Amino acid sequence: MFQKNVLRDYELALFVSYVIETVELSKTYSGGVQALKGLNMKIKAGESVGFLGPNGAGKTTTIQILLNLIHPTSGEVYLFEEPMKGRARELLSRVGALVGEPGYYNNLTPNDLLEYICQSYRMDKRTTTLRIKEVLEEVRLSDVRFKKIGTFSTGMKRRLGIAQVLVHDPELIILDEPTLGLDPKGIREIRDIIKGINKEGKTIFLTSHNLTEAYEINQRFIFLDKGKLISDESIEKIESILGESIIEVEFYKDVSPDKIDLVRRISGVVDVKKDTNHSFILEYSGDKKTVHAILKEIVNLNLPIITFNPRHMTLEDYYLRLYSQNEGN
Amino acid sequence: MEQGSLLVEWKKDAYELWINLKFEFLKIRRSSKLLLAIGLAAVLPLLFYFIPLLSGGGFPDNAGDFISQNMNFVSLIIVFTAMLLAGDIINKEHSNKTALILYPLPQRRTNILISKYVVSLFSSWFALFIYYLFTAVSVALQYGFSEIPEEMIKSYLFAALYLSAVLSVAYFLSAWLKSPGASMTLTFFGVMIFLPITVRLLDIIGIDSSWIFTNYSTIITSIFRFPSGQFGVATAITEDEFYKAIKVVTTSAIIFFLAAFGLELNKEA
Repeated sequence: MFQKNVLRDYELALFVSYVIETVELSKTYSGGVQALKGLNMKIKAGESVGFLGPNGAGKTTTIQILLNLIHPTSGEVYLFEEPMKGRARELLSRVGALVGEPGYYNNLTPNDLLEYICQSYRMDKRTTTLRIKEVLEEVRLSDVRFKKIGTFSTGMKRRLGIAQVLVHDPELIILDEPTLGLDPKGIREIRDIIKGINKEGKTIFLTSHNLTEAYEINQRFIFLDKGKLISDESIEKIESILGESIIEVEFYKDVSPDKIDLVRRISGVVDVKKDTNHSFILEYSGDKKTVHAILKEIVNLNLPIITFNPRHMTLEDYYLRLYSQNEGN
Repeated sequence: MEQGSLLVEWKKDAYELWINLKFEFLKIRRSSKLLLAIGLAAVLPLLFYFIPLLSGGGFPDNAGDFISQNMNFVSLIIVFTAMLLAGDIINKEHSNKTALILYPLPQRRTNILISKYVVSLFSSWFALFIYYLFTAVSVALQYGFSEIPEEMIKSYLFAALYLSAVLSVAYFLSAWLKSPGASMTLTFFGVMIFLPITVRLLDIIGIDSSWIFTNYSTIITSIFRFPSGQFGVATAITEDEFYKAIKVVTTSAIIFFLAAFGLELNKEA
């Protein structure tokens, strides 16, 4: 605890402001399911962080704790450098959040809902009217301001969700799967809006299953698996990894582990990872000549090769590599 | 906590209560439920007035019997209104996922829950008032204004109290059960059938059932102290019985309300 305080004071001295900080955050549900296992993370003001992981990784649980919807079994949450315990109401007034796919009151209009939300954040009447107008323009819902939400499409409801997050001009924006269930046009619209918010310098904490989306929006990526943080990388680091080259190799029948070991020993091959039963991902270092040499060696080994596809690593490859490594551990 | 900061907290809570009362009222006003409850409360007395008038079937001989006939359906109006306005008031926020909008807002959940109860209570009292108002107007039209008994006010006040207890049951069930359909159904059948059956069974085996509030629904009509009429039974009640009824019904309303409160506040969502 002493060490932590010293660190926090030191960081404050450097004007590093943490908007979110979790310390050994754990959550075990009543059924015994351990959703979070000692999660430690810090998010700086102005950062745009992608909080990624497979289903059941603990993403939504973390968000629900951050929003005081559920309580942690142990550990602490700090928002804006203040402990959340006992001060949630005050601290959450600086946060805008869209959790999952919320429902809407079908008989109300966007104006009714946003007015109530502005009142919850204690905004005066003049600012409320102004902000509702601004924010509905931003999410392109101005023309349906007084129409019942029940008549809206899924995409319009999601845009209204974004408006609801932004209407009180929060410092921290938490978005949980903001494009889930949307068609490609809807996804593009929401993504563009979020990118716009990011440019305003607000802190964004976003969970998504869609890696492309996270990659487009965020500058930092926290990967979670089985309630634990398994990787925390900046976009620069991720981009350097994505520069790495791989070859997709497919065989028409099973290949024994001994043969795969021989492939692993080919000059230029860095690692071989099993993708499916018949296909493998070869990580290599070198140029086109190296690729040609690897192909020749595989043919010489008399392996039943049917596909050989050299390409750069994608974020999906990185994600799968990360989780397969974690599985191995 | 210092006195000053306590005052600030109270002001915050009062403000939150106010905005949530307005919001809940807006929600109920825009939904068809309040209209349905008021509609039923208005239509029933109108039917009892216009059907004899149009069919020539004739009215009861005196205002007392006419009122007695109308009051036989007060319990139904009460349960129907409570079921409609509070039977799904909490669990629907979860099943429709609107809780994901409400609960992350910087407000105490208690203020949201109190507002919900208060708005549904006042709305159902209003629907009940319409029933009494239309009954009184029917009496005035058929038997003369002077024939409207003073006991109607007393009956209304007791009916409103009884409605509070039924509403608390509905509120409790909506906090306890996940499915809005189940909580609404159980509100209706629980108050109309299960609790009266329990009372009867307890009486049979000689166990005191006077603590069950449904025992006292008949007081709504008994208050009129009319002799046995053409359409219903209305026996006079003693003052002691009346005050005991008030105590039991009030206590039940409070207990069910607090139980619902406790359940919802401890819910993780």
